Amino acid sequence: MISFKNKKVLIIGNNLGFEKDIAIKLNNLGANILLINENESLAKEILSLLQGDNNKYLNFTNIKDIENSVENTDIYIHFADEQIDNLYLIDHNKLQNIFNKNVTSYINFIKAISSKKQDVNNLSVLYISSNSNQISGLNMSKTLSLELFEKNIRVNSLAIDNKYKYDFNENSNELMQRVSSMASYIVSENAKFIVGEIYKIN
Amino acid sequence: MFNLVNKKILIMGATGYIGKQVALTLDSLGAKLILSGKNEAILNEILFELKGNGHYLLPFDVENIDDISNFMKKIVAIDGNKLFGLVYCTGIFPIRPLKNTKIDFLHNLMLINFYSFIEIVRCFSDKRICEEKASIVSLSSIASINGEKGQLAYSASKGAMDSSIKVLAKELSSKNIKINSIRPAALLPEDILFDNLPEAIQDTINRMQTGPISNKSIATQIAFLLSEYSNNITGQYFDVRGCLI
Repeated sequence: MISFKNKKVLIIGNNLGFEKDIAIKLNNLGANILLINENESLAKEILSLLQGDNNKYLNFTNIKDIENSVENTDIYIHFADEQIDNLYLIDHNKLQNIFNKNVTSYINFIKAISSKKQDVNNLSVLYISSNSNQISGLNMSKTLSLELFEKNIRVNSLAIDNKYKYDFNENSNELMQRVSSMASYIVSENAKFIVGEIYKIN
Repeated sequence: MFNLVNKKILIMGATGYIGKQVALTLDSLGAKLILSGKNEAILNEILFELKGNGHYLLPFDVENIDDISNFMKKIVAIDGNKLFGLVYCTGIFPIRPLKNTKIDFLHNLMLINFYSFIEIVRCFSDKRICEEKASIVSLSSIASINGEKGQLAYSASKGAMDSSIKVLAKELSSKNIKINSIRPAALLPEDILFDNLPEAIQDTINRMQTGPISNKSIATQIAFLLSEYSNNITGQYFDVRGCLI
C-alpha cells in the first residue's frame, strides 16, 4: 500500500539514534538512504542493516560532498534534538550552536535540495523534534510549505512530547517505532494532502 | 505495510463518499467488515463491490440512539467475533445560517454527528463487544476549528467530537483502546460540480492549492490509524488541509 521504491531519502540523525528505525523501515519499503550525522559508529551500524547498494553515510564535515549528494532527494527527514536543559549553562555561543544545528542547517538543507540546480519532484520534508524546545523549527512547516508548494515541496513537522526527553532510556524502542511509523506515513505519497502540519506524538 | 487481515471492523456511514472508500480500502487489506448506514440498497451495492469474503451489512439509523446497544450486540452475534475496529463516518453537513438554526435542527444534528458517536464508542468499548487493543477512528472536519458561514451547527458538532477525543483517549487507554480523528478540509465527490459548491467551500478548495482531498487518501490514513503500525498513537486529531492556514 505504501511504497518508497527507488525514492532517495536524506535523513539527518540525532544524538539519540532515532534515525535508525525510520531508515530501516523506509529501506525495507524500497528507499535508498542517505544518512548524515555526527555519530559515525552508529551510522555504520545502521548502514550495515540496510538492503541494497545505494545507501550512503556522510559526516557533517564533508560539506562539498553533502552539497553534491543531496541532489534529487525525494524525501528529507531532519531530526533536531540539540538542547541545553539548564538555563544557567546557556550563553550566546551555545545558543547560536543549538540554533545552527536545529534550525539553520535545516533551512540550508531545504535550500540546497530545492535550489534551481536540483531536479525537485514532489519533495517531502519532515522536521522531527521535541514539542517544546524546537517550537521555531516545528512552526516553520506551514510558512515553508506556502513558499515552496509551487515547486511541489511539502513540509511537515512531527512533535514528540517533551516528557520523553526525560524518560528516554534503553527501553525507548517503542517510542522510536511510533515516531518512525508516523513519519513514514507523513512522507509517503498517500499523505500528499497533509501540508505544513505539526503532527504530535504523545 | 498495514496488516488488517481478518480484523473485524465496523464502518458507520459506509454509504457516504468517504465511508464507501474506507470499505474498499479496508477490504483490499483483508479486513472483515460490518457495513452500516441508513440506505440498505446502497450498502448492498458496496458489498457487491468488495472482493474479500466474510463481510456483512447491518443497516441502522443512528437517530435511534436508544437502540445502539442492541445494534452493537447484533454485530458480535453475526459471527460470534468481537470487533477490532470502529470507523465513524456518519454525519450530516447542512448549511444553515444562524437565524434558521433553531433548537430542533441543532438537536437533530448533534444527535447524528455527536451524541450517537459517543453512544457507539461507549458500547464499542465494552469488553464483550471489542477486542483487546482495539482502535477507533472518527471523521471530524476542519470546520471544528475554522467553520464557514452557515456551518454553525456542523462546526459545533465536530468541535464537540474533537474535544471528546482527548477525554476518550485517556479513559480508554486502560482498556488498550486507541482513538483518533482526522480533520479533512474540502473533499469533492465526482457527482458534485465545483461551480455548484457554496462560494466559501470553493474558496477553501482554492486556498488549499492541492485540489480537493481524495477520499482514497483519507481512507488510507484511516487504515494507518486502525492498524498496529500506529500503535499507542491516541487522542490525536490529524489535520489534512493542504496549504490552508
